[in-house]
Amino acid sequence: MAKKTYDLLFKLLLIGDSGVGKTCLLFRFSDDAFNTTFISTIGIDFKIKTVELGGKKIKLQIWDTAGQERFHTITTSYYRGAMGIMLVYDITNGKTFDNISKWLRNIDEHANEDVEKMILGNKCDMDDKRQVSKDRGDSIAREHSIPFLETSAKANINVERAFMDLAQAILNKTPSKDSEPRGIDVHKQEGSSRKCSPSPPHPCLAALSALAWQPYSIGWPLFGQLQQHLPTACPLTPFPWMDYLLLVLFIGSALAAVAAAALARLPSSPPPHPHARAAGDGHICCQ
Amino acid sequence: MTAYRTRLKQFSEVLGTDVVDMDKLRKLCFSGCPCESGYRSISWKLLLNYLPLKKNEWDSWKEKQRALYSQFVHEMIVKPGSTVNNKNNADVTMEDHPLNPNPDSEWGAYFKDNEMLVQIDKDCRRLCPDLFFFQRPTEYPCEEMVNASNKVETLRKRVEQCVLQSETVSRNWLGITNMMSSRKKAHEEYSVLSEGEEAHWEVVERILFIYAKLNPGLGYIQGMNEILGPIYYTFVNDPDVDCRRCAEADSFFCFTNLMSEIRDNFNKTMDDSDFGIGSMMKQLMQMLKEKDPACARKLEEQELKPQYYAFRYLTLLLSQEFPLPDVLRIWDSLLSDEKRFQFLITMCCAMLILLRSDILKDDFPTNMKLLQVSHFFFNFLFQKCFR
Ligand SMILES: Nc1nc2c(ncn2[C@@H]2O[C@H](COP(=O)(O)OP(=O)(O)OP(=O)(O)O)[C@@H](O)[C@H]2O)c(=O)[nH]1
Ligand SMILES: [Mg+2]
Repeated sequence: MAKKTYDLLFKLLLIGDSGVGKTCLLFRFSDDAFNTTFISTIGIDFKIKTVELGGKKIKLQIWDTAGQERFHTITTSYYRGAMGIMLVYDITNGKTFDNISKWLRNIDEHANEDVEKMILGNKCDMDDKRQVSKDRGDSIAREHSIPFLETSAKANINVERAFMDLAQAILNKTPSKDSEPRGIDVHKQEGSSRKCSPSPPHPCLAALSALAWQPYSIGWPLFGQLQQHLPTACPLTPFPWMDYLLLVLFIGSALAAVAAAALARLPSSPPPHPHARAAGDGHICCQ
Repeated sequence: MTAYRTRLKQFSEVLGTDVVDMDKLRKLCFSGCPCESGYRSISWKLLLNYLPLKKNEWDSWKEKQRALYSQFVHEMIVKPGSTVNNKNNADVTMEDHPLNPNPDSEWGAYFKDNEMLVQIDKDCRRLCPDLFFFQRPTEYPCEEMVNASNKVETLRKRVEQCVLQSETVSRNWLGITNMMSSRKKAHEEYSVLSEGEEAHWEVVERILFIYAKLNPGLGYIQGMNEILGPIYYTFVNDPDVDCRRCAEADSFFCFTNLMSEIRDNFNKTMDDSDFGIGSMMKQLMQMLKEKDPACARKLEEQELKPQYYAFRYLTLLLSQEFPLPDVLRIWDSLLSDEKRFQFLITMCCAMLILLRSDILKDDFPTNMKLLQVSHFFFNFLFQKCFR
């Protein structure tokens, strides 16, 4: 069992037009480096960084999405789980700024109502190519009461601060008692992974290892025959009785839940889920 | 080594007959094409239905197609490029002008194209960044482009122009005059190349631009560059001069044919249909469920959806998950799959199963990284297979 290395888990999302520098910003934040040669993001990417805020270890799970229109159907499905959204435009490209309102509408449609937002005007190192003045960024942010920063992934301006501010805003809404963290309940999540303790190597792995893998020469016996090598079923646990035990436990708890609900005869206000409650109280508008 | 020689001989036999036996060729290619004697290029051209099966028709066919491509270049780049320039000098009271709100306006189309072009340009500049190949000048630049008179607006000039245009706007807003400095900058970005040269990525850009113009319903979607990359790379690195010289035209047609089979993956309106990427991801998960229920259950439990990783594997035919030489080898098999792209799904499933022991023991973020970290994947799998 892995030791718990953090207190809270925050899920952040980066959105904005293609080419505004979302991937670069994330890379600057997570690896403190700048790389001009990122390939465009296809679908969605993912990075983790643990930071310390207010004496708490916070694990930031950051999703980096593709900006092009085609990927929207794929990427909007992540909005729901996000606690903070970073909306990025490029100060050297007016069109990416004009699209901010479109992205804001997207957030309204797909994200949680209480999601923390932040607008970033990236590439502020290129002042000679600027198309969007800082005032314009400021005013749209004020209009929507969203914090705003100009950043540069290249020159490392405000990147750290942007992510930390967003995390802080989420933390501010988190009830201070440790027992009720607003972030994903760490203990619960790790508990669920306990079921699958280190498993012995799967038999199909051995089958594949037996095939020589020679990518550069011509004899690469392929996965084509793979299907024949695969066993039809793999048990969840080493012993069948453990599977049954799990099943019984699962059905038992389900039955108990149903019974409880029936007994209460659908009470007008069901006991609030910890997340739901945290979401409801103290809607702090950070300016 | 003798096995390798046998292999070469088999290829020369299959490709040496008057009419190529596709079944035999598929079988051979499935376990890898040697790049010697251009076997890979020829095989791919056959597998992608570019070359006819009858060998004596090859030369005339290639000639015809290449002429057609030249025509495309002329009509879609050179001609509009020169008219636009004429327009710039023309009287603004003319019927069509840059501010014409009519959607049929040529200018409207021109600006729309420019947006697309800038996007293609961005993506092509950073195609396979770990490989210097695409930054190098091509041996056979397009004559019409590098010798174009100043009057013709080549794609390169057009991208530069777009940057400049937007800066004119910025000058109006901020009152800063910076046009001269930026023109120099735009020029510097090409400065590694000497006069009359074109980088390989510019050729790729041209192919994609023409493809997008010819397929207005789809246009350019990010990731198409990664599909074209391996094809173009293969043809340019062929030992045969003819293949190298006409790599641009040949890649265009092979890419077009390949896209006709996978275009639904790039079409967001097809996502939920039986043909788009959504159904492919479903098939993959279905297969994983059958072959390795525990692994599938674990992914489901962690809500590690195929969209997070398999979307890219499948859309890009694995081209972003492995280094280019390995991609070529994998594509030998993918392209010789008779039920294209059933094998792709099997391969992705195998990749997941190979990682099962890690997937089963790790938590969501670790698994997410494991399934997403492209390029390292291959070495990782490689080690696993030999451990
Ligand atoms: N000068 C400058 N350039 C930047 C900065 N951030 C990103 N870029 C450049 O902008 C280009 C696009 O950056 P990406 O991070 O790939 O853009 P993205 O938003 O992730 O784009 P998609 O993945 O296509 O949605 C790259 O060529 C970067 O070099 C910055 O702060 N300053
Ligand atoms: Mg990106």
